[in-house]
Amino acid sequence: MNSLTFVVGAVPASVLLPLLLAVMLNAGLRGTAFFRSLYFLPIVTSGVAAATVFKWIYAKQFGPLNQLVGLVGIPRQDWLFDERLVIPALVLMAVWHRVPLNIIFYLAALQSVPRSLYEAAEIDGAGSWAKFRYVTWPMVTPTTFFVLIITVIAMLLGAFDIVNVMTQGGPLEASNVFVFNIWRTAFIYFQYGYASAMAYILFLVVLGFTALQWVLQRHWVHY
Amino acid sequence: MAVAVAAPRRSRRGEALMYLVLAVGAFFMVMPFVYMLSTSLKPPTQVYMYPPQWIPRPFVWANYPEALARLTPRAFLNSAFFTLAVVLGQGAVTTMGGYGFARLRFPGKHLVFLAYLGTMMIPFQVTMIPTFVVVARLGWQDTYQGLILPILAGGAFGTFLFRQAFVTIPEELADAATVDGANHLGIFWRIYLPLSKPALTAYGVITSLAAWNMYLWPLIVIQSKELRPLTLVIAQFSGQMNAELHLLMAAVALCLTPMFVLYVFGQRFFVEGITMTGLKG
Repeated sequence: MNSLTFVVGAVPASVLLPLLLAVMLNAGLRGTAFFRSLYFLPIVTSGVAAATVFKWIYAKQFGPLNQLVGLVGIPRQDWLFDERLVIPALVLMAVWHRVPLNIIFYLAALQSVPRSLYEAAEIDGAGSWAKFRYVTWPMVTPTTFFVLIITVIAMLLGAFDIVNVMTQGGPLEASNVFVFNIWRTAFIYFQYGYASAMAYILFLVVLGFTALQWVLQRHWVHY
Repeated sequence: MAVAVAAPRRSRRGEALMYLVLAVGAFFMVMPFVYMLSTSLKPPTQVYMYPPQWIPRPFVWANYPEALARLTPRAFLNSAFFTLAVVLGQGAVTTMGGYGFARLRFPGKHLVFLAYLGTMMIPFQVTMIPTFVVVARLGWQDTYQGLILPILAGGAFGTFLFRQAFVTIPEELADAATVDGANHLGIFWRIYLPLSKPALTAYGVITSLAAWNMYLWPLIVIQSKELRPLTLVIAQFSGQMNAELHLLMAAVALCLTPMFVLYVFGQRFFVEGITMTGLKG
């Protein structure tokens, strides 16, 4: 259940923000290389290291996030120890960690869109938005779909590092996500059988998404 | 005919808007690193101030040697050894496997290859319990071989990647080498590997990143202090060093350094590796 909230929260932003950013990083602006280097930094950062830093960014008494939300008048929150806020806080970090990877996939896709399509659209009088809506968006749909599926799978599987470092499933099990639960059942409670059964369910879910990708992949190409 | 590539017509306003969005995005992406560096250089008294002081006064460089001493050089060596062993070991297994599937003829090749590909569908998180049970029964719990060998078996994707790279190499090259008296090992080593450098670098970079950052598997296998890689040490410190945040942040910065250096020199390879392999780890 927590996994579901986590995935549903983290996936849309992790799929759409990178598309937006990739389009801008591909627009031939000056300083693009500089921006790319900055955006890609989280890729080389381990989940453990990032979670350790974020844990303190979320700290109630002296964390920078509270300083930031304080600017718009929101009182200090105890992000990781509040049942309602813990999943949004983990989602924020997961999105931060995932966005750069997905930007790379989109950039590769955008670079393979033929220039001639944009030129034709310009001759037809298309503005920036129309070019995005009628050229870019349909041309990258296969990538969007691919990114969507692997992001769902990555969020399902990859949340362990950040949960174990930041919250250990708490407060009151509010961040007890699936893989963390499997690990804890097997290696803390030593119930290998029960944990293996849960792992099987996880496998079926992932298999389902992979199958979905195989089946739908062919229908999602709009050109 | 030389046609000047017309720069896409774009309004000044649109361009300014894009810069604004990119800058705001970059701010959020980089902020955690800035916070880490700034905290890692603070004297202990400034760490817990609110609102946070972003510029340490004075800069305490001595936090770094102390953080390194806490992490222990041994943890660095463990991570380096593990990474090297995984890259070389998995590299050997996957390239040779890829060669076998690309160039050898043997009965049931297609079936075996399909089975290989099939294992890619099963995430590590699903097989970690049985894998651990096997390691424990072998008596390899808390040993380097228990940590490293099971990872070497997980190279289905690399095998696939190298098979795809190897089938594009013209078979005539191998035939010519056979005429000159080369056996499979010679062909593999002196023709196929040198011709596959882009795939090798991309796979090498991504594998070292995944190994250096790996957490769940070492957490399951390793118990003793002397064998722990950096990720385990950092995760443990993360729960214990609440009162020494400046040292904790310096320790995190130290762990990130090797991959950051690799990234600075080879950003291109990371990008190629990710597009080529589809995902990391």
